[in-house]
Amino acid sequence: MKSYSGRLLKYEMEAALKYLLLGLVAVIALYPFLWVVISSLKDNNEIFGNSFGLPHIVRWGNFMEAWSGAKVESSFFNSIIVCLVTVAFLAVITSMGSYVLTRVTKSRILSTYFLLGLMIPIHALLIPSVLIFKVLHLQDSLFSLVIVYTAVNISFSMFIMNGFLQKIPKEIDEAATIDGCGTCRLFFYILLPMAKPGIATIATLAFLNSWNDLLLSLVLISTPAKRTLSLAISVLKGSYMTRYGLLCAGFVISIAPVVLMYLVFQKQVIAGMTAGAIKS
Amino acid sequence: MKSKLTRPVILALFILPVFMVYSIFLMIPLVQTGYYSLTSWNGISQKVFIGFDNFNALMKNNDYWITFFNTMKLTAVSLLIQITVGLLLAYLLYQKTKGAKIFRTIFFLPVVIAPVAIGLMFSLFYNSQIGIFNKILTVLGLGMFQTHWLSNINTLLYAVMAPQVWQYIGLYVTIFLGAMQTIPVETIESTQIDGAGKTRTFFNVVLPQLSGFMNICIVLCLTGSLKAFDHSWIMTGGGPGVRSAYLGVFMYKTAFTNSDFGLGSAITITIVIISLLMTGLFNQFTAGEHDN
Repeated sequence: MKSYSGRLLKYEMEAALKYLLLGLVAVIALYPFLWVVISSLKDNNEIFGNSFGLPHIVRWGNFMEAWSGAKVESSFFNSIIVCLVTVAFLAVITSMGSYVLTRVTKSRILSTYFLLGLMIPIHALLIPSVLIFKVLHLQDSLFSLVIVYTAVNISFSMFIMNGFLQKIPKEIDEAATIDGCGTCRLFFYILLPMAKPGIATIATLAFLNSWNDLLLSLVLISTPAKRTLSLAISVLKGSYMTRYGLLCAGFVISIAPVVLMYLVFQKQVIAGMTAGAIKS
Repeated sequence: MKSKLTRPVILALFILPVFMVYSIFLMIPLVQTGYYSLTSWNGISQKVFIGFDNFNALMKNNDYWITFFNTMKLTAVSLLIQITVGLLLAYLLYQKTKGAKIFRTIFFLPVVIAPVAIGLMFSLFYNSQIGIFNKILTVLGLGMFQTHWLSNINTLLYAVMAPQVWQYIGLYVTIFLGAMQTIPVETIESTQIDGAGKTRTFFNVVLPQLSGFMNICIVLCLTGSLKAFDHSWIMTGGGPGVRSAYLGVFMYKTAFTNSDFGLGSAITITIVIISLLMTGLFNQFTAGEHDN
């Protein structure tokens, strides 16, 4: 009996230690954000004097001011538009291409060609992209961002879509064709709805990638009115050098959509970001 | 109208948009960068073909080597911390843990947030006026370790690395946890019935089963470090000089601040080559291991 309760004690100690460690890591992961959210409602005096406590006077005004100042408002909508158009365009063209690759030709050369992009660092595109868009008279345009973001997201999107389309049985195509269904109708009305989870995965991941990009918008956008949110954030530090409450409020505004999306579409986000690793 | 489009034409129209966007805006630019790296060019003047002169110049360039070793340090630190901590946390969550899903949700949260925002957040924490790092050190009774994290030359580089390493640990936790869940439960149970403790189960059963995922995580870690840009750019702009810059930052500065497109392209090509070499060598190494 004694050894039994001894083992039980050891087991309970182990469990306690485990939860303590996990809890500690959770605090390390979460507290920085919490601190910024709380500080976004303080003024400088409180941030200096009362660093860790809740604000005595809640300054919602920080959010109004951050929103209307430093082009946060316009850049917020620029980012939303660019990301949504990118996602829509990307989803349509990759799923169409993936249909041909998985159901019609099964060309290995083409499939490999589309995977090569996974190995190209974004840096390799910067200089040529600036020049190409100059030639196309699209320099300093949000549309150029849509095109580049689409291009850099094609490889993994193809990879994920191919996986989903391959799982749909071929008999469906045959049955639909016998019933007199054309290629376009078969694809848009039958296959695409069946591949919805795949599209959800590539859409969430491409949205995140585009929303979080800094480098491409840094080289392709120059007018302040056309800044994306990442760019606006990178200049926020300069504009609000000494007004930390405003800086924090700007930070909270910039991460809010992504955090919200993560909480709602957690499954798709995690599936997308780990898809490359788990499936291959 | 519709019937006039034959099936081959429709199929061509299906694949063409994605093929064109991908080729024109991703693959051709890569080739162009390769060509530019062999020229002397500021973006406006005529390109002058100079062979490998840019690469020779890089080899003698002090700043290149500083940023090269900064990048290697980041790679080493990321591998060491992200892989080990990722594995440990994943294994803890894998044990019948209450609230494992909630923990995973929390650990993964930083992964989805823009690196530029994370960088901004950490520069606030390092700030000498309001910096909470120094305040936390005081609270813990470690006040003597307080410093100006981003200006002290000894802490600068590590202070810039920290947010990046911290941010992506959750990615590895999630991948490893997903991988562990693919191991048949019977395998684990039979080892534990044989009397193996959790540590032995981990090293003898779990770890060997993860080798494929481990390779992927290491490659992710390598390529992620070689692409590093945002954190360094927002926190210090890579400075002073290039003290806290990675290859990616050095490339950006060379090409877009100094308008040296030729040299900038050459730096990019070295990034591509290093990343291919490292992943290639690594795959060779592990493939050899599997043959034995």
